[in-house]
Amino acid sequence: MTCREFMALLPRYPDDMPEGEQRSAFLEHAAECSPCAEALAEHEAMLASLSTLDEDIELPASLADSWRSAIRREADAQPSQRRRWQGWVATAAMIALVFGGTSLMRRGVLFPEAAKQEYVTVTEQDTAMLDAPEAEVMMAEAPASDDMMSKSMAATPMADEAGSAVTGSGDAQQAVVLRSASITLECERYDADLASLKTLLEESGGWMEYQSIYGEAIATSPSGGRTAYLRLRVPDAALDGFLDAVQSIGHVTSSEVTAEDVSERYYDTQGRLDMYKAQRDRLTALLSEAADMSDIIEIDSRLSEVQYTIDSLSGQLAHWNARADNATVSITMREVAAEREYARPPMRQRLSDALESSLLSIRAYLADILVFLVMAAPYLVFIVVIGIAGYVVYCVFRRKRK
Amino acid sequence: MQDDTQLITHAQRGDADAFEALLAPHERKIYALCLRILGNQEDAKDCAQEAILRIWRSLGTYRRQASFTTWSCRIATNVCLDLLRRNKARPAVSLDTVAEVRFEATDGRADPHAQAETAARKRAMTEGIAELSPDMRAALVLRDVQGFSYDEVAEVLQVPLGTVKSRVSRARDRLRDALRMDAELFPELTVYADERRRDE
Repeated sequence: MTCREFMALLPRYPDDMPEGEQRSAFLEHAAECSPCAEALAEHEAMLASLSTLDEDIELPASLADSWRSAIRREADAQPSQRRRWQGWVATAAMIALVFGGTSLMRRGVLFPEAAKQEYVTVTEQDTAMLDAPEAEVMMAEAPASDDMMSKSMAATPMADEAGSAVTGSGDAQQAVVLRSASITLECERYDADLASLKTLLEESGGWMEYQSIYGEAIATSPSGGRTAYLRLRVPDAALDGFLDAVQSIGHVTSSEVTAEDVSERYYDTQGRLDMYKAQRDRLTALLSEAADMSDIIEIDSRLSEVQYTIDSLSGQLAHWNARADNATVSITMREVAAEREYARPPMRQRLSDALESSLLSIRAYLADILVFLVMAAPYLVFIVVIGIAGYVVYCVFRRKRK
Repeated sequence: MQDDTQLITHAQRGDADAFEALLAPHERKIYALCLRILGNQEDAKDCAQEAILRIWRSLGTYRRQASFTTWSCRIATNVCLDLLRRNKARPAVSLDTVAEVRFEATDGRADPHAQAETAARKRAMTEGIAELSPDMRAALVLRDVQGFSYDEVAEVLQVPLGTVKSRVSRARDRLRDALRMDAELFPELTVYADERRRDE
């Protein structure tokens, strides 16, 4: 090994020079060559000095204090990771509780009474297109049975049939509700659809009261189209099923169901009828006892007036009974060309409908959350109290363990 | 006394006590590292403080693949090298502060002459180290002053092992050249020099 090679290897000695031929040659050279031995000694002395260079360095007290207080400040200022983690869990649990609770309430698992209220609300929204022009119309007030809007027709005992949703506290009078529906349909297969409508009507036990058809068939006049106006009477009990079936026949462009509560007028009329009947009976008794001709004429005249009123009132009652038994359904069927696309209204319309529907459901959901929170509040207070007590116990236990 | 693993776990959850207990054995090492790389006390104090705060803040990302010592020295080295890069244009700092501190630190029981000699020698070393480029300086300080293995130095500096070896080797070479100027500070060298003179 030459001195030059030795000097090139020197900085790698001893830790970067593995045992072997090279190392042996390196050390042999150092033993033979005194300048290189000197350089090696110099190198080793330097390494020895370097290794003890920091021995007496003292940590400045100011640094030791300052980093500790900086860490303390930061630890106090920011919540620890565990606390942050706990915060996330608590938030997630809160969200799960509120949304889960609201969903369970909506399904009727929690707070069934609230769910029932909600059911009415939803029904109202679903039938938002059903107009309720009169204040008397009985909808939401109807008892919460499956067919809330079902008619009530119990003025006579035999009218108290299945499906009537008549309430009343004890022996109170039952409501008399007259229902009517109006539907506008657009049909591509006019003749077939009209035929199936009539079949449906027969199946439901109803009949046609009035029919009017005008316009030209699209087959002969493409710009035309026939329109049928039908007024039907459908047994009240079968009305809902009938309406559902009708709506599947063609494309419904408008639909309206009204329910008119005539109970007050009905029972008022009935009361007057009873009074007149009693009067008629008295007059009949008087007439059989009367001897004087003028009396007979007067009583007879009065009796015929009373009889007339009785007939009139009975007629009115019979009319109401008939209407309560059989709902009136008006159907307008318009023939349209087959290529018209019903399912796809203009994009803008679809977007605004979609937005409106989302907003409505969000509003309904928020209202539900509010209802849920109010209903759950007492339970939550209970849970919070238990939670605080648990936390206190945990803290005490932890302090003791420390 | 809890072991490091437990302390790290607690410190990662934000426990300042655990962090103090964890870092206390390393604080002097971190400061010394900063002092060697930067060459003056003021910067060393600032960087050590900054490094310890960074260690505290990024403890959550520490995955224990490296030892805690290696990991914390890596952060300290980065803070120092960042500062040197930022202050590239700044004139070299005086090393007097470092030397003075070491003078005061020697204890009084030893021979005053030997003390003075040792101090002078360390001063020469310190100045020689300061003359090196930052990369070489960091490698030399970590390997020869702080005693990390080559592998650990590679981990601290995040460079390949070969690069570390070559940096350390070149740094030793340069430092030795620089110290030759002060040969009288190294008695061993003087002996050899006398022998050499006699041989000649």
